[in-house]
Amino acid sequence: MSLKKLRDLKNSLLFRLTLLYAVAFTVLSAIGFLIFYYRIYSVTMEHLDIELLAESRKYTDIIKENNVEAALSRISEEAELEDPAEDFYRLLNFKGDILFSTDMSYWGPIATQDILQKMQKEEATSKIQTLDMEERDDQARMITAIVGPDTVLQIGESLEEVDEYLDIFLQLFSILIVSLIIVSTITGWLLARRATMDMQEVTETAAEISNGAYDRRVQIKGRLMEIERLGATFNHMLDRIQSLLKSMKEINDNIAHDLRSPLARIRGIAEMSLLKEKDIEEYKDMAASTIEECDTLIDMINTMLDITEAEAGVNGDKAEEFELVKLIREACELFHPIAEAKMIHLKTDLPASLAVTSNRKKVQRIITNLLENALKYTPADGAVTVSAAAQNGEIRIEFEDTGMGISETDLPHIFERFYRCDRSRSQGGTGLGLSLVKAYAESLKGSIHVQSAVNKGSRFTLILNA
Amino acid sequence: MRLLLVEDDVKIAQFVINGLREAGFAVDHAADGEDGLHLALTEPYDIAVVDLMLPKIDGLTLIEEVRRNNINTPVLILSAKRSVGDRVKGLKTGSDDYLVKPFAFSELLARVQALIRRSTRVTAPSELTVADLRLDLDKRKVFRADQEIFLQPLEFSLLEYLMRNAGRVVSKTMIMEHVWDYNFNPQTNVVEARICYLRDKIDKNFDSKLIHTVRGVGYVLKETS
Repeated sequence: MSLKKLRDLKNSLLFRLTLLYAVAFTVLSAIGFLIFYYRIYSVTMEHLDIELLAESRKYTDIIKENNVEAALSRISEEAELEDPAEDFYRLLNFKGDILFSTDMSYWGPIATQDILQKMQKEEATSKIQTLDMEERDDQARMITAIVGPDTVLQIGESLEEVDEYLDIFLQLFSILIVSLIIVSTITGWLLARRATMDMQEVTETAAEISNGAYDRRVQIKGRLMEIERLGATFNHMLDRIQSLLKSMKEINDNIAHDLRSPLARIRGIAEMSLLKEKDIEEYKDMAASTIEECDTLIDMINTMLDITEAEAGVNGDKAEEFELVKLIREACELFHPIAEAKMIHLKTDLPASLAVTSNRKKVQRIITNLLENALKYTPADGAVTVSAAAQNGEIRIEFEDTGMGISETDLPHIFERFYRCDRSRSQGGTGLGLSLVKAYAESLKGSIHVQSAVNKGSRFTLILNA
Repeated sequence: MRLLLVEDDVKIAQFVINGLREAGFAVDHAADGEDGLHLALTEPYDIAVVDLMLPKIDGLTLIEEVRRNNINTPVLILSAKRSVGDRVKGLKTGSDDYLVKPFAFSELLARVQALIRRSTRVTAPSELTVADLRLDLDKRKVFRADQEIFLQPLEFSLLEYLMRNAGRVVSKTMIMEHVWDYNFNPQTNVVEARICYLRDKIDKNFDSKLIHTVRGVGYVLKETS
């Protein structure tokens, strides 16, 4: 494995998580073991001390009831049964002279003066201590007890047995801890892998998408919650990117097509003006037509930019409170001559007042566009009704006409940029009006809805927050 | 009136210069920001028209520099940037108006004249008169040859705007924006329809016509010689 791979591994989440898990587990079990071990040790020692004390009491009683000789013969009897390397018995006077002793060749010299002086000073009748012996590997526990007048008994017991007993525990725990470390590392690795594998999949999907597979999505079902959320956010972002890409492509196609026609007309007019000498009125006419075509183009480009900006939410909308009824009446007033010329009955059904807090310019443009559309697609002697009402904290503005209507096949597409129904083509227009309405309505956190029946009419409903 | 034009696009500069000279302005032209700043700081101008994207020194810096030298010449920005943010940035630096390219020359002229009027503080008249047409701003009444003409509010404000700009061509966009406060052009020609109504009332019964259409550009109210 190269150095870089090693470093990558060290920096990987999988490695870090596993390590963290294993270390935490090991430290915790080691602490647990230490506490346990210490408890066993102290309980064993306590037990031993109680035994030693009981033994010394036994001889105190014998001396009291009989005499020192009786005790001595009893000690010899008992010492016979014991291994002299494991236990020793000694009888001393207060000066430290040895009156009786079992075979001490296994034990080496044992200092007694200090302990006797200490006992006299403290007026204690017995003292238990642990002996470290130079000649032996193990330790011994020894009791020094006054068993009779000027008689001191010392019983020593090797701790070898206790050590062996504790060693077994130590071994057992070592095996347990090692297996715990192994198990915890594996468990930690599995857990971490579960998390990182999910992430790995998100990464792989992202890589595929950067290579052009925009329709790929991360599977989010049955994953860890955080990963599910990451995946959902990721997918949401992809949806948005995909729809933006799609609309960009459509727009490009349509721009090419829809901008070409006015440009072709401008070019045609300019060419005609150069081909043959004409009188000044004709030239003026051509110049005027050129300006009109240019204005159409400029309007189209501006509207496209307006839609894009609204969709991207570039310009923070300046919201202000305004009187919606006044705005609608002004728009109707503005279009009144158009309705009159087409003999369309333009009606309103409005309350006395409706205060709205929104972007006035945008609402004005939405209303104008919808009103204009209604008038455009309604034949002579028809009717257009604009109504508005507040309802459950929303404001509904309806534009109902008795016009040509929109067919079911066209209905889902009418808000798309440059989409024009076959029957509306003859009416002119940029094919951007309704896209703008939708983009503006949505940028104002409102919505636009349409119901329509062919040859009966359409109803557009704009819903705004009050 | 002396006018400074700072514009690097030669063709746009040429038609603006021609148009403004025809309208009676003495025009100095600078093709980059450095020359423009030099002229603005050394010559007294009544108004400056400045493009934003300029070689050497950009328009906003130029305007800031001019204002820092305490020169209060009104400035109109011409720019291809049309977002609200850009407009606000432009106006914050100390310019007085903002016109987006492509623009109609008639609109540029009207805005330039409006800025000059504002800076020279001509007091608002209470009456507007063109030939035998008289508009009383206080009583909101209109007379032609001493005969009262009754107008709808929308028609009254349209006529007022035409009379304030008497002799100058105003575009449909300008009418939508200034008269009715709509900052866009509907597809349907609502201005044309309203002008027709106004003609019926103002011109129909009189021999000399006052409201004229300039095809492709807009409308003008003037006395025909």
